[in-house]
Amino acid sequence: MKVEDGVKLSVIYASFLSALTLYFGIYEILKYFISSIPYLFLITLTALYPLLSLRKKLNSLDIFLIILAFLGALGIAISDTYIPGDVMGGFVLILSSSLIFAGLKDTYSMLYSGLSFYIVGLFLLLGDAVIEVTIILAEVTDYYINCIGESCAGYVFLLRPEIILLILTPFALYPFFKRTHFRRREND
Amino acid sequence: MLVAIAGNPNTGKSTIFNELTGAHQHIGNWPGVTVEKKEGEMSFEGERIRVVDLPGTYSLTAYSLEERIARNFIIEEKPDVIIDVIDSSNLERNLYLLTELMELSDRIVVALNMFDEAKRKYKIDVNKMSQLLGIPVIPTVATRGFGISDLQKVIVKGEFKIKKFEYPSDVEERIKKIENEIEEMGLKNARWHAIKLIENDVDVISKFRNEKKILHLAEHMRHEIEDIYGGDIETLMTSFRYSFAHGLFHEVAERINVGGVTITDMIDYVVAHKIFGIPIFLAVMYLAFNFVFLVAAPFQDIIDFAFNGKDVAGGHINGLIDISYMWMSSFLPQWASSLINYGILRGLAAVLTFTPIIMLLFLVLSILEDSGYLARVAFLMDRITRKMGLEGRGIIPLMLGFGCNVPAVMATRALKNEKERKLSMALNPLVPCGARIQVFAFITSIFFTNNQALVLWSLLILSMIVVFVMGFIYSRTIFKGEGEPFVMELPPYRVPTLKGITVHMWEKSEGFLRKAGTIIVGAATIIWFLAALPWGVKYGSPQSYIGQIAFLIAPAGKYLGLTPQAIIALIFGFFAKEVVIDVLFVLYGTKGAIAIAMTPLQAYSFLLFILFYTPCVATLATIYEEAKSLKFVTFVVLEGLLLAIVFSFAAYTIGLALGVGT
Amino acid sequence: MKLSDLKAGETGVVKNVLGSGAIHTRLLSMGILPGAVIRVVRTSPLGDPVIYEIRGFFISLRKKEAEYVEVDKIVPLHLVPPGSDVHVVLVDGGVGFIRNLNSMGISIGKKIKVVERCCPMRIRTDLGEFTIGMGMAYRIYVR
Ligand SMILES: Nc1nc2c(ncn2[C@@H]2O[C@H](COP(=O)(O)OP(=O)(O)O)[C@@H](O)[C@H]2O)c(=O)[nH]1
Repeated sequence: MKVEDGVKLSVIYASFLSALTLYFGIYEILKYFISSIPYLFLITLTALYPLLSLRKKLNSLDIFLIILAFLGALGIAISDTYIPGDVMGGFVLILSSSLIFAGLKDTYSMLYSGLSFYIVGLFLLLGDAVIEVTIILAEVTDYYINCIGESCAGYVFLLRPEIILLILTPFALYPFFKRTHFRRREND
Repeated sequence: MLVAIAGNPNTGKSTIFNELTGAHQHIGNWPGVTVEKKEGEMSFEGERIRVVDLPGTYSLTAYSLEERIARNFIIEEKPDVIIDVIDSSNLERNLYLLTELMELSDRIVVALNMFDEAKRKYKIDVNKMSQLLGIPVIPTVATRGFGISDLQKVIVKGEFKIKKFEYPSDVEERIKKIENEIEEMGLKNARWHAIKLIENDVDVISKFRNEKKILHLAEHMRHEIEDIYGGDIETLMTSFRYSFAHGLFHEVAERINVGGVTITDMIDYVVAHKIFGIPIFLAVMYLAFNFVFLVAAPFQDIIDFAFNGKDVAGGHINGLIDISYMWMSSFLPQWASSLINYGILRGLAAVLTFTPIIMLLFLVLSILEDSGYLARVAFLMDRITRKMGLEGRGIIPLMLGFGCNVPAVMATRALKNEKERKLSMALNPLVPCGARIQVFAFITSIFFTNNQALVLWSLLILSMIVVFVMGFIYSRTIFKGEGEPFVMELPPYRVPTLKGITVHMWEKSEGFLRKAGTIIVGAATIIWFLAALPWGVKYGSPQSYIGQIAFLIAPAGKYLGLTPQAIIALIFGFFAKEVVIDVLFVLYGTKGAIAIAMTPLQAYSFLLFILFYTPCVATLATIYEEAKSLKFVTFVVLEGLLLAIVFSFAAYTIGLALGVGT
Repeated sequence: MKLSDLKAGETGVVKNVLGSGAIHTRLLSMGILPGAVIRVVRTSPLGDPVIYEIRGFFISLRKKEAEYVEVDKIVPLHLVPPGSDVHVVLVDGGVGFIRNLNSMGISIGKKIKVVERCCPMRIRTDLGEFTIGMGMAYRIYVR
C-alpha cells in the first residue's frame, strides 16, 4: 500500500473518530445540565457535520460511515445511563475533536500544517483516555476501600466514552509514523 | 577530590549527576537562598570523589543569583575538575559557557551530552574538538548511561593541556597589564579578575574597591578597547568569546541537511496557536489536576483507614492507632499512651496521607517539565501572571492550590527566580484548597440552602481577586524584583524517561516526608497537648486549653460575628482545615443545632475567615522547608490572619449596618 | 528598527543591543550580538512574549526586552520572488559553505538576481547562472 493511500484511509477513519469524540463531548456537557433524549438527535447530526463537510461529494463509503456513526450514536443514546455528565471532561473531548478536525483537510493533502493539528489532537485524546482509564481504576479501588467493614452494593460501572476512544484512537496514528513523507506548504 | 558540574540549563546536568553519583547524594539549598544544591559522591578505583551540581547558567556574569553561585563556588572551592555538560544539539551557544569556564579553570572535561539528538543535526568530530581545546571531550547520552564510565575515567586520569582561547591582541595586551598588577597583589585567578575588571563586572569591581590604582587602570583600558572596536565593553567582550565559540563550532561540526519539519515545530504550531493554545493549556491542567487528586484518593483512603480505622453502622473498626493505644495502655499511664498514639502517631498518619498526592504531583510536574511543555505554559500565560509579578509558570502552583496547598507550595520550584518563588509561596495559601472548599460546601448547605452555589462562587471569585490584587501589590512593594529579565529558552519536546521521572518523584517526596513531616508531627503533638490538658477534661472541649484560649479571644470574635465554638473550630482547623466540620459537630451536637447557633451573616463572616486565615500546619511546614526562613513563615501567618480579620470584619459590620442576613 | 517591530516570520540581523545591567548581559550571553541573525517564530496568543530563533535554538522574549535589540530587517533568499534583484547581506555557515558560495559569486555586498524560485532555485550572479538547493537558500540573507 502506498503511504498516501494509507494516510487517506487514516484521515477518513479519523474523521469518524473525531465525529464520535465530538458527539461524546457535547453529550457529556449536556448530560451534566439536562438529561433528555430528544437532544440526542440534534447532537448526532451536529457530530456528523465534520464528515459531511469534509468532501463536496459523498461516495458510498462516506454514506456507510455516516450510517455507522448514526447507529453508534443511537446505541449509546440507549445506554444513556452509562455515561456520566462532566463539563470539563466534555470540553477536553470537544477540544481534541476540533483539533483533529482542523487538521483533516491538510493531512489528507500530505501537508505538515494539517499533520500538526492532527497529531496534537490525537495525542490529547490518547492522553485523556489513558488518564481517564487510570482514574476509573482508582475510583473502583477507592469504592471498595471505602466499603471495608460495610455491606455495600457492587460498583456501578460507568462506560466512559474515553474507554471506547482509547481502543479506537491508536489506529488513526498511521500518518504520525509516516511524517517524513509530508511536505511543507509552498511559501512556508 | 572535588568535581563540579557546570552547564546551561536543560542540558542533562542532573541526569549526568545522578548517573555519576547513583544513590549517594544529598539535596539541600545553597546557603541563604532557595536555589537547590545537589551534592553527591562517586568512587572510582577506590578514590572517593565529591560531586557538586552547580545551578544551570548561560554565562557567568554577576547579574543573576545562579550565575553568582556557580562562579563563586568555582573561585572559592576550587574544584579539581569541572565537567561542562554541553547540549551537543545546540553546540554554539553551549560552547559560550565553556569560554567563560576556561578563564576560571584549566582542568575542564567537556561532556557532549544529548549526542543522540545531535547526530541527527550535525556530524561532530569529537577528536578534533578535544585536540583543539586540549582537554578531554566525551560524547554522552545521559539518559541511557552511555559515556558515563568514560567520563568517570577522564575525571581522574584525563590529560589537561588546555589551549585557552585568546582575545584579539589589542585586548590581550591590556588584560596582561592588569593581570600583572593583580598578580603582584598575590591574588589567584588573576587573568579572570583582570578580564572582569575590564568588563565592568559589579562584583569584581566592588572586590577591588580599595585598589584605586587597579580600578583606574582597568577603566582606562576599558575605554581604550571601546574606542578601538567601537561599542560598549560588554557587547565587545561577549562578541569576542562568541566568535571563538562560533569558529570552534564550525571547525568541529558539519551540518547534515535534513529537510522537513521537526516534531517540536509541529507541536508548537498548535500548542502555541492563537485560538487553540489556551484551551489546550486548560485541558492539560484539568487532566493533570484530575489525575493527581483522583488517583491519590484510594492510596490516601487506605492509609487513613489503616491508621485511624473507621466508624461504621455497627460501631468502630479499630485502626493501627486504636490497637496500639490499647496495647500501650496496658503498661503505660493513660496520658502517655494517649499522647503517643493520638498525638504523635495521628500526626504521622496525617503526613503519610499527604505522600500519595505529593508523589503523583511530582510525577505529573516532571512529565510536564521534562517533556518541555512547562516552558510553553510560561510562554502562554506570561501576559496574565506578569501583572502579579510572576512569570508564566507561576500559574501552575496557583491552580494546584485549589487541590491542596502543600504540593502547590512545593511546585513553586518550577519558578527559577528567587523573588518570584517567595511571592508565589506568599500568594498560595490565599487560594482555597480542596479541604477548605469542602468546609464551604458543608456550611453553605446549612445556612444558604437556597443560593448555595452563589455563595460558593462568591467565595471562589473573591479569593481569585484577592490573589491577583495581593500579587499586584506585593510585586511592587515587598517582593519587588531586581527587574531580572525573563529570557527563556524553549527546549525541544522530548519523551520523558521513566528513570528521570521516578528519581525526581522520589527525591521530592522523600524530602517532604523527612523534613516537613517532622514539623507536622511536632505541631500535631502540641495541638494534642492543648486540646487534652488540663488532665481529665474531654478532648477539645471548652474546658481544655484550646477551649480556654477560645473563650479568651471570644470577645474579639464578637466583632467578626464568630462564636466561641467557631473559634475553637478555627483553632483546630489550623491542624487540617477539614477538621472544622468535625469540631463543629462535636461542640454543637447536630446539624440543626449548628443552624440556629449562627445567623447567615455570621456564617458568611465565618466562611470568609476560613477562606483567608492562616494556612494549615502542613502548608506552613512546607513553606518553611522551601524558604528556610521563620520570618517568612511568620509573614504568611500574619498575612492570612490579617486578611481574614479585615474581610470578616468588613462583611459583618456592613451586613449588620444594612441589616442583611441577621 | 527594533526587534519588537518585526512580525512573525520575518528575519532581522542584530545591529546593536541597548540597555544595561542584567537585561543587557542576559541578551548578550544568549548570543544576541551584533551580526547575529534572528527570526521571529511566533507570538503568544495573548500577544506578548514572542518566540525567536537565534543560532539554532528558540527563546522567548517579552516585548519590553525585545525593544532593547536594534535590528535590520533581512530576507532569506528562498522567500525572494523570482525576477527581483537583491543584495547579499549575510551568509550563515562555516568556512566551507562561504567558500562554496564565493565560487558562485555569492558574497556579502554582491548583487544577485533570482531567475526561478523553486525547485531548485536558479540565480544569476556576476559569474553566471547557478542552481542552488533550498537548504542553501535558507542560509543566504539578502536585502
Ligand atoms: N535525548 C536525550 N535526552 C537527554 C539526555 N540527557 C538528558 N536528557 C533529557 O533532557 C531533559 C533535561 O535533563 P535534566 O537532567 O533535567 O537537565 P538539567 O536541567 O540540565 O539538570 C530530561 O528530560 C532528560 O531526560 C541525553 O543524553 N539524550
